[in-house]
Amino acid sequence: LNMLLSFCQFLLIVVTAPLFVAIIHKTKQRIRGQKGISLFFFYRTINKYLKKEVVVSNTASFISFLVPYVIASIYLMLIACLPAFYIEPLLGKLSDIIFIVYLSALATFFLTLYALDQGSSFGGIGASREWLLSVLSEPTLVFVLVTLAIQAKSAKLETIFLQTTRTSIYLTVPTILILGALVIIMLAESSRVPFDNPETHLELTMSHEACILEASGKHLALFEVAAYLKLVFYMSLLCMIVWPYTAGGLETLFSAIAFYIAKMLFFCFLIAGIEIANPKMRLFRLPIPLSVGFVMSLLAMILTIKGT
Amino acid sequence: LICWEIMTVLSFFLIIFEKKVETKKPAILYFFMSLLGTVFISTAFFMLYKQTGHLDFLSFYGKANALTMSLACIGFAIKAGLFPLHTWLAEAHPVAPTSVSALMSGVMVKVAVYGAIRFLLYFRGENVATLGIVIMFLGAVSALMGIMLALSENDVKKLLAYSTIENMGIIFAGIGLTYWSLSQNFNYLATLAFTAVLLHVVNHGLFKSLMFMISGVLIKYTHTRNMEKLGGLAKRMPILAIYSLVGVMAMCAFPPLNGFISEWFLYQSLIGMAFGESVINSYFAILTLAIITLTGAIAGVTFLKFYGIVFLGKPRTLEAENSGVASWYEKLVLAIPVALCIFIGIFPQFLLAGIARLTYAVTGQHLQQSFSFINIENNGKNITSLYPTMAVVAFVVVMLGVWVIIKIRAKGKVRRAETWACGLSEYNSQAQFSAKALTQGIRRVFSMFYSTVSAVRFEDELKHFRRGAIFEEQISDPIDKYIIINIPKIATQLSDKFKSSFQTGNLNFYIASIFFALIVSLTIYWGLS
Repeated sequence: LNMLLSFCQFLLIVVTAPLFVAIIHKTKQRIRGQKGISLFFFYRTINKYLKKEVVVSNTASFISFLVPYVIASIYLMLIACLPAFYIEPLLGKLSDIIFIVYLSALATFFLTLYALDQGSSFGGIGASREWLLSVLSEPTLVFVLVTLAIQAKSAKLETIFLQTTRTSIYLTVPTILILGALVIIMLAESSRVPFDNPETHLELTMSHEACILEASGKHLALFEVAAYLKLVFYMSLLCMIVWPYTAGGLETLFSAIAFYIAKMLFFCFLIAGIEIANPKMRLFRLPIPLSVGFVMSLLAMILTIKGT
Repeated sequence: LICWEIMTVLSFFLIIFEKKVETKKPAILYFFMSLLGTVFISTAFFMLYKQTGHLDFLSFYGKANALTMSLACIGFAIKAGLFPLHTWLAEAHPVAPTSVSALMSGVMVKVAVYGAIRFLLYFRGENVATLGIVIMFLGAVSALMGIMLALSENDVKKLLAYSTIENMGIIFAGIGLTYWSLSQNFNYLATLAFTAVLLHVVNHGLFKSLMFMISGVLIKYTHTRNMEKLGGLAKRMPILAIYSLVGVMAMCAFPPLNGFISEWFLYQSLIGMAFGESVINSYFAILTLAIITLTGAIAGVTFLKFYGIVFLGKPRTLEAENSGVASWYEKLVLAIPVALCIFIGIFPQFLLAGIARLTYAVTGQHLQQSFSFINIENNGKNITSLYPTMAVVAFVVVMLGVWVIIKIRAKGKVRRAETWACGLSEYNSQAQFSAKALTQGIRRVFSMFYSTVSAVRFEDELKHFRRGAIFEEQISDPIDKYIIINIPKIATQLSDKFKSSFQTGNLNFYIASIFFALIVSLTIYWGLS
């Protein structure tokens, strides 16, 4: 039964991922005064991509055929490591924090390999910018996770959140700082507005979109799914830090799911708000918010070390 | 030690094997730096000899004091190419023939690691925690410096040499951490860090030899070491491209390859150090952790650049387009390190079983590992564990699942077409992204690590319609530029001053100086005995 519940948790997060992305999108459009897309828009998009033929560049090598599958699988694995609302994630044994960080770096590596494989300048620009963001946000991600690890005296996500579920009811100062840092790197890593614009392919805003510019058909569908999963991964991480509440068995499962969805909706609205309120930043101003995130995580870690 | 000198002399000849003028200067630099290292190390050995009266390693056990250890460490740091004395390594390794540079990077610098382990862990007589922290920090800084310089490098072999500096930095950070935790009696941390050191020594030897050999094959068939002239080789040499992908991923320490396992141990020992009670030590631990993480991230871009520019995209020059194809025995030989890299990454337990015996001899604690997982425990409490084999199996299962779902759902066919270039028909392969441009953003953000001189020159300055422009950029190592280059100048100036103040031509002054020197040396002699 435990295995089944874990699998259900994994499946639910994966299946609802396009829905949450659509909610962010729709909220933004409503604030702008537009009518907005249907909530199931992105399911239809993926279905449409799957039906279309795949056009592969003449210069593409085996990398182009391999990478979409690899990236989608990496993010599926990351999602399977999260105890979002049920205490035992599917791949809980693998949820070591360093492993998770390196797995997400591996996804960036493959994405940029794909970009360079096309032999056009757009891919190069995208790869360069993607890594600039990644290099600056990776230390912050490690610091956030290590701070949590120090709090829980364990370096595994599974145990960390088991621990925090039992102990923390109030938001402490380090937790608030961690949340701030994590929001910043979530926006950077999943290419949201102050860093990148997920809605356009315009050259000036591109980092993630430029990397997958050549993708089409089922490859594009896989890349899109991977992007949704990445966003949902970071959002779930945030949800698990704010008032963590995970179910241990069937009895509390439904209230845990309801609470999880409520928190996810809150973060959807938060992201939509940030995206509406901020313009896209110039590329070389991006280190500023990222270093703010780093300093926040550093402060959180110092406070945690002092506290223990 | 004598053997080491023979090695230095021999490798000096190996470097100048290719009789070119340009190889002489790095070879001489290498020779002198290595001799300088030997001076420090032999001083340390003589001090030990004076203490014990013997010359064999067994009698030195637990006898070295802080000064001896520091001297030996300086010597070994020079030999291992640690920051700020790393410039010789980046100069000497690339100019040697490829087989020699594989040997030098893979094996010879590891001898310095062996020496440092001997002195710090076996001959350890005094416990100076600061020394461990200093070595750890210097190691981390040299890792960052090495990878930052590798990032800006376009020469295939020079990039790999800088990456050697990075990996030696990581190894020395591990050694420093091991020494520190032994001196503080944190045996479980010492076990982790020492495992990281030994494992990384093996791993680095494997993947760096692999990459040097691959670069040798590339140079053989394309006749260039400049990345900007390569490109699109994945289509000409697919097998070599796969090998290289494995090597590159191992160097970036991505799972599931061997580099990840050893770096994982290092990260865990740093996190363990941050768990500790002492606040100051935790601060040092997170500082090092930040540097190592940044190093890891930049290693990702560096080797993305290496792989992406050399193997992917369109061929940038005719040489790359018409390159030869690696012969079957080259593929066969290269398959050995590739297979070992993958094997250690997926089944590290076989190698770890051997390493566990060595770490037990030093730290007196066993590494918790079984066939399927590696466990990290402190006082009976499980901190974390790694399941390398299971991770690979899970990944393969997930990927198969994705593949099956796509196979069932997707309907479209696959068609080949030209890359979209905004509707233009652009067949100029020079219009691709270059290696310099790929890293420009990061180099600009971290500009304090480089001393960059760049200029745009126009061919015909005075005309209104300029026909062409030349962009030049020279990036150099600030240490090299500001310190190493100036050493001869400073030495000359000092000796000039010395000459003018001592060689006055006054005989009485000479006699007085000799007398003074005699008194000083006699005082030192009495003071010592």
